Amino acid sequence: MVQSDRPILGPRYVLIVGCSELGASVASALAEQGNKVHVLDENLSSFERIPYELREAQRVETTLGDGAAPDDLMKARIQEVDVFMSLTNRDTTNILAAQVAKRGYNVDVVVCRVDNPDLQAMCQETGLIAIGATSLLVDHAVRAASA
Amino acid sequence: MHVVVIGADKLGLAVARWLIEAGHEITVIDADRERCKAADDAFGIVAVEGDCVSSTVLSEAGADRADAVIATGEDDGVNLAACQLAKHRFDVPKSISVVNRSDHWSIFDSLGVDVVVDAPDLILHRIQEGFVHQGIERLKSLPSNGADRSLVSIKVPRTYGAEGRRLDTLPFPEGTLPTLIISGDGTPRLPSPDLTIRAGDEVVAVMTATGQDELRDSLSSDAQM
Repeated sequence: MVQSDRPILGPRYVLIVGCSELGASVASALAEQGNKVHVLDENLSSFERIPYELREAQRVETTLGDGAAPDDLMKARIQEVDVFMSLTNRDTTNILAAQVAKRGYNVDVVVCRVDNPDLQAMCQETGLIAIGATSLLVDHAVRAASA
Repeated sequence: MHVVVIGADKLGLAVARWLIEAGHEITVIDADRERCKAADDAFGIVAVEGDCVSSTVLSEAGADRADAVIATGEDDGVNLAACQLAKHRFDVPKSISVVNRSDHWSIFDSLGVDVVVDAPDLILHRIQEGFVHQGIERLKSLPSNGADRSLVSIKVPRTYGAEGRRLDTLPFPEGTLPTLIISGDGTPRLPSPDLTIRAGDEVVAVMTATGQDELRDSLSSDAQM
């Protein structure tokens, strides 16, 4: 499914918009795996969710800015990105940022968090990989109930 | 027509007022209770309080029978998602949205929003025109093949006097296309090289942006003479 010119196992440059609990956890996990990770958020204190060692060693870079603003995305070198993820706590912000990455910068792999199931379905139709807490949890709950 | 307006702030209410006066049926959606109340107070019961990107709320606002959706909010993410939901889930035939950042215009356009209004650019242009007006007013922009052309109205300055000058001696920059001359008394005339242009006449012409700057410079140095 994932197509890229780079070897699939090599380290990748991942840009994450939103240093939410989810964004920070995904950033840390991907950095631990050896990927180059950059996180963009409008709130400076949110970067504290990422372990200090990872930030200190520049394994996770941080930039203050708006994930749907091209000038801020350029500061995080969006042109070099292999994988883009918008993981703020707002569906609409995530969708817009993801579309800017996809349509404005032709990023190969664009993932966005969309908890509203209607919006999630719509995003899949427009070429985004939309992951939503609601649908994931509903799946698990249904499976647990019918086990 | 039935129109769903997204956002009940100043712009949303102005759009709603215009639609009602034009005889259309409207519903306004806003997440803010106070704004919804203001809309209801102004127009009767028209507001639905709720999340603009919830299918339930859009349905309650009558999106399934709407002829158009107009997104006027200050959050481009909400505007985009609301237009897309209206189009894809409710088959609303026409979607119009404001963008609050100029660089979002192409994203909205490529995702099928029918009319995208670049609010900052529009306002900036009006401010620029007011700021550097100097007798040249842009009537309509006519972009083609990358050239930034506009239809402009040029007020002929007092220095041209009552005796005037021939049209072909006017300091028009290259590429200027005069299309209509309106005399001080309102008589419209078609341009010809030997037509006399007098102070107070109005020349309607097609010009490039750089041409407008050049003409502004030469008109202001004329005025100082």
